[in-house]
Amino acid sequence: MVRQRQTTAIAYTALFLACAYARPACAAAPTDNTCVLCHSALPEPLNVPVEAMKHDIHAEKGLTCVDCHGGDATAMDETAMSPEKGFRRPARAEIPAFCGRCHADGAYMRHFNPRLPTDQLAQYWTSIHGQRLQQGDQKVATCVNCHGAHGILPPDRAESRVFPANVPATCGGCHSRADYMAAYGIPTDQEERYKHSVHGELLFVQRDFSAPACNDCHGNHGAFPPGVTSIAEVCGMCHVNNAALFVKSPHHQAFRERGLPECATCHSNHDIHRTSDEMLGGADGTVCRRCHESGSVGYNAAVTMRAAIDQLKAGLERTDATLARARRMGMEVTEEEYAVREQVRPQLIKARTQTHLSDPGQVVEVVTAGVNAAAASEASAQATLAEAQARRRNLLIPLALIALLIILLRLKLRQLERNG
Amino acid sequence: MRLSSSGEANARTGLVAWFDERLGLSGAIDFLRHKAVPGGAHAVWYYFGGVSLFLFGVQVATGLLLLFYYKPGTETAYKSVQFIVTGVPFGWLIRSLHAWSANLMVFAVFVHMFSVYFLKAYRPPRELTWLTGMALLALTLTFGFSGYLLPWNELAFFATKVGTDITAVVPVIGTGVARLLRGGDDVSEATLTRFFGFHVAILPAAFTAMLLVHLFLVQRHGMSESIGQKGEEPKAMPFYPGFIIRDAILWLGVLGVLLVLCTFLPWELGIQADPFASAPAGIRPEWYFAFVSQSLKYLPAKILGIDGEVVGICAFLAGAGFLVLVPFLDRRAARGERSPLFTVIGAAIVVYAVVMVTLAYVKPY
Repeated sequence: MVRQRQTTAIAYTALFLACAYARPACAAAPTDNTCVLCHSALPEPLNVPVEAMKHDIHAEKGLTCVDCHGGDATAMDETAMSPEKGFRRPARAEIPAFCGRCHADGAYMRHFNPRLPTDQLAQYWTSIHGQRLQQGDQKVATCVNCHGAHGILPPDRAESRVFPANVPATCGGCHSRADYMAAYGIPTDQEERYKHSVHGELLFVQRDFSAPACNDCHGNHGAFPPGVTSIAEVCGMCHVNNAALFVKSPHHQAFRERGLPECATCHSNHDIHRTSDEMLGGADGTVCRRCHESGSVGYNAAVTMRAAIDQLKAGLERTDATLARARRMGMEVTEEEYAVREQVRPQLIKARTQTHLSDPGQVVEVVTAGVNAAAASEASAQATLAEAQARRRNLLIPLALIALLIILLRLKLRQLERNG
Repeated sequence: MRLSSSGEANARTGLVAWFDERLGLSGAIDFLRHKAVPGGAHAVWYYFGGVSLFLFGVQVATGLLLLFYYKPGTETAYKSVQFIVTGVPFGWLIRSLHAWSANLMVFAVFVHMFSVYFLKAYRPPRELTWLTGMALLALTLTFGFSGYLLPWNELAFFATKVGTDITAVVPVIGTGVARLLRGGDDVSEATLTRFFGFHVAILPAAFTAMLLVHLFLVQRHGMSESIGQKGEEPKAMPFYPGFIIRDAILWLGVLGVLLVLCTFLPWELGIQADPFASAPAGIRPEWYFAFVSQSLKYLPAKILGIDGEVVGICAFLAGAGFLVLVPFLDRRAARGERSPLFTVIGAAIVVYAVVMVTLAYVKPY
């Protein structure tokens, strides 16, 4: 505490001296904001806000230093930052309320952006960060840790710290630091694991900014680790059908009883990999085998569902191969390709989704519809192939007739020319 | 009942005599018997006019059959062509014949034009034959351009978009012509229906009229002997039966090639055009326009302060103008002398076009 006071005293002295020194230059300066004038002349870090504010959303909207910090931007001496003139520099614990003076005021915010939510502060107090801050933990994230203090950008700008592709690094700024997080006893590899997950690949490699980053699952202002029983709700925000089927499945109750996290039990959490059919079934290495003994009801259900899906995949591959062959022979198979696209592939997707209900009968029913549609397309493609082959065979007839006519005409020509 | 051979001969003679009496066939046959066409080493090139004519006949016949089922319209065109190739007996063959024959016809017309060019057959008094021939070439290309869009598939849609965009680049009249072609600011149903109108009514009428004038002029002046042959003992063959039977043999050969192409490489329909979709990769016009589009890709954005595309299009228009006016520019050929400069220019044009078309297919970007 003493050390903090000393630092503050030194900063104020430096500020006063700098203002005194900078005064002659002030007359020619393009601004009359004395905060900017003085802080421009100060050493780091006191001059950092001046540069940062040039690109800040608040500055873009016409707000200046005094709108947040109070004080008097016309005074050229230390009274500019006097508490009498309303100057305030929030302590860490005061930051949420400091920002919330405007951001929690719907009537005020409407002037700038009527669509901007104003519940951030209320949400923050429900978050693990907010709760710990209230308990006196000074290390937890406040507004400035995620958004920055000066140079704040809206989240739709690629340079913003809360732009989707930057969120993992922003959260990782604290959560990936083992020394910083040691006191909390939680892992610090989430960011690294996320980078290699299917979501991370979408976000970083494919630049799909709709892919979920940390805040999409944990919340942003109300960030909280999802409880074991609410994971399906979190994943279900995007994976709606899977979640809806899962809550009706026998796994739902069984996982609750055993305290297993719902989706994460099979799919993991931060390093969720692209799903494959190899996850399902009775073979070693499948997720089903982690819990279900060979010969058990669950094991048999898994084997049946996997066999059904494999059957549909095989039918689809066969049909695709026949259609490709027909296409290579120049045959028109758009209708058959359309049928595969609209009636077979969706059944495969549906069957894979249906596995979350863990009811083999339902999966088999979906698969059967797909297999039948694939068989119909396959039969039609085979007929097209047969027609292509028949066309090639039948071509010999007109070609033979043409050859015969050419020979006859040649003979006639020779005869006519011989006769002069 | 079986007629005796003498009875058959009498009946045939009687039938021919009946028609001869009414149509004067013997006079026409006698005329053709005495009509001679040049022979010799260059004779092979004289057949390409006939091949073009034969392929035009194939186009008319197959085009009429396609008209029975084709329905112009953005909602109906693609589906009607799809029905033709999948649901109509021999519809696949008719549609493929129409498409392949169109391409072979363009090729034959180009070969015919350049053979006439290199043999300097445009020299007096055949200037008008050359001009009508150039008009027929232009009409053939317009046939190709308008017909390409009619199935309303993705490739054709975007190629037409690009093609009409290039038209708009032509100074002064370009924008108006592009708007006239499209029936609006963009390729739409209005474009499809007017391309259909051009393709099945206006162009056939114009082409037939121009073809009749062209054939009349060919008949009027006869086939040209090459400059080298002049003064030598002319090598000639009678039009009937020598030339016409050889023509028939070639036509049958072309028909055979067409059937093989249609059977082994049926003309693809592709996927239905979606005006709201983004252009797929690999968009290019038909091969006979590829030398223009490919050349434009190599031009810089600005040449001497003028848009590169505008300069390119003006250069092509100048080139076309040169070809049209060549009978009046080649004075040496007009005097019956060899004109190697024009031969070199023609060879350069052919080499340039072949290289550009090849690049368009091998290395488009």
